[in-house]
Amino acid sequence: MALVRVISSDGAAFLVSQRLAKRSGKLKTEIETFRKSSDNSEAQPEIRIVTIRAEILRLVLQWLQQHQNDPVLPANQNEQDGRGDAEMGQSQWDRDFLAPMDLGIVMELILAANHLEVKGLLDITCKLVESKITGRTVDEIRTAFKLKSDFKGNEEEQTRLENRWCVEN
Amino acid sequence: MNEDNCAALLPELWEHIFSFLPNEEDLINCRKVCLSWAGILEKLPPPQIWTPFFSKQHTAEAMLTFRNTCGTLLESKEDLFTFLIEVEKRPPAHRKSNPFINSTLILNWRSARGYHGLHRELLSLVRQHGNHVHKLLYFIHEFVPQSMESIPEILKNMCNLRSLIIFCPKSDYKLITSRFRFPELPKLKHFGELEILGMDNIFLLKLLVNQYGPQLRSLSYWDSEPIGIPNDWRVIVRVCPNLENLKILNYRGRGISSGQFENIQFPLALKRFAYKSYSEENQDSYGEDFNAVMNVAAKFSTTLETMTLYVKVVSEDGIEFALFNIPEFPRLKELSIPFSFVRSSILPQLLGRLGNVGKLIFLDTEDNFQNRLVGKEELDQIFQGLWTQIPSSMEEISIRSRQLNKELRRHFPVYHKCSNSIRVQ
Repeated sequence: MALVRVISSDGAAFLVSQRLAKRSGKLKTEIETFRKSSDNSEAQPEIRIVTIRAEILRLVLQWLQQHQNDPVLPANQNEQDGRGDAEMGQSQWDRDFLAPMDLGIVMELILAANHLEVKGLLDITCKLVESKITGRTVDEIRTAFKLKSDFKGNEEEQTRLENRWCVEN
Repeated sequence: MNEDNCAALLPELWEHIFSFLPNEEDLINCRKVCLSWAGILEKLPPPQIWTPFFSKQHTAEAMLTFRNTCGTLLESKEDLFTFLIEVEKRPPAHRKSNPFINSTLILNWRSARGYHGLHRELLSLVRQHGNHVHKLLYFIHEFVPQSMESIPEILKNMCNLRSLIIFCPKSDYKLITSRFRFPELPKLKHFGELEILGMDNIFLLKLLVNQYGPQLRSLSYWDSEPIGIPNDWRVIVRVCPNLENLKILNYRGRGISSGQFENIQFPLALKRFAYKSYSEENQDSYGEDFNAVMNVAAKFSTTLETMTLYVKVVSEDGIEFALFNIPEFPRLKELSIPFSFVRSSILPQLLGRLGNVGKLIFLDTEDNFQNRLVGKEELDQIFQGLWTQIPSSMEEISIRSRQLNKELRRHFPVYHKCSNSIRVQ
């Protein structure tokens, strides 16, 4: 079985099958690039991911492992994208996988899934963040995401008004 | 969590996250969190906000809806060409991305001259980028049948369209209808909101509703017939079983004949209903009386959550209507009625039928409170007797008036509020 070494930003190396790694759009491209530039077709590719630390990379690979037999989702759904109607096949395994994570880890995971082009993981993590927004008040959202209001004066009220369909004359 | 993570998340990723939010309220809340979120959300499809209010003048409302909606506004040949050039100038990597502000396209050709010769360019624009349009505001020019005929072609290229607002001013519309037939209208998976502004457009409404009726959640139109005329209603009601929001402006205010309505079966489970009626001669006089409207509302009173009525409480001769048959509104949370109701004897009777209402809004239809501050003392005095009559669920009573913003030279709605919790303290 052809293997690939994937190395995290803090130097941890993960040895995974190329078949598995290729489920990540980014890793697939990297492996193919390596193949083209290498004379030895038997050589084991080594890919450094400088933006993702070991803990997060492990999670991504773990998720890929679990979902290795899923159909690959198209990364670009631009043509027929639908707001809020993405069909999410979130399994029990996914729920258990995400359950212990705090929001910080989830955010890192989103960045990683985006960087490595793993659509399915990106979707479930984004969905999780979305669930932290749904039904919350503005202040609760700010607290959850540690954001501060930077509106000046009545800009906030203005945002509300401008978004009404019909403005009074 | 690590504070940097939120900031580190690219706008595209936030966009992705926000795109999962199905609820308008949440999107509006997110807009208020901070400037960067507001900026990101500007690029997203606009939330579909159903406002239950009518503006002071109906024609101005239509025009302002077009001018003030946040989106890409094209009003002339120059606008269109400039836009096409800008779009072409984008670096190749961005060629395919959304060129429209707020995913909204406003085609507002008011002069017939503007249309001629533009047809091909317009269709080519729509063919290339139509899939990014989520909301279309479209002006139909009565002397340019082409502007009507091209609707199917335009819609065909907007596979992600959610909401369509058409403004067709009062005209000799037969000129258009006799000349054209809509070929088959395309299927639009996400479409759910239709608003038709302008007089005498029931024919247009029917054409569109025949195709999109079952998927419509919001419908708004102007009507010249009293809502009691069964024929038009039967058509609309029969083919729109999933309507949640219905807003009707009746500009001839001839009055509902209450009897006719009894025969209409309403499969509707309306959540929001807004109705305004007035005669063209006198915009302040509301043509329909309260009883008649209540007869209509009784058909969907059990599901209604928000109701807005611009109707009169006093007849022409100054005699207050006697009330009969006010249905129960068990789920009604918000009621808006003209300010003249505040001193009428109808109000206590009406309030008695509202089990769980939380907000009562008096519409300042006579401009008693426009452009001025209304102090706590004044409000207390106005609402003095009222608090003892209202259901205990009532949280807030307010007056909705308007305030001129001198810089923008535009009126904005203002609410003079009096809340229960403050009052008790």
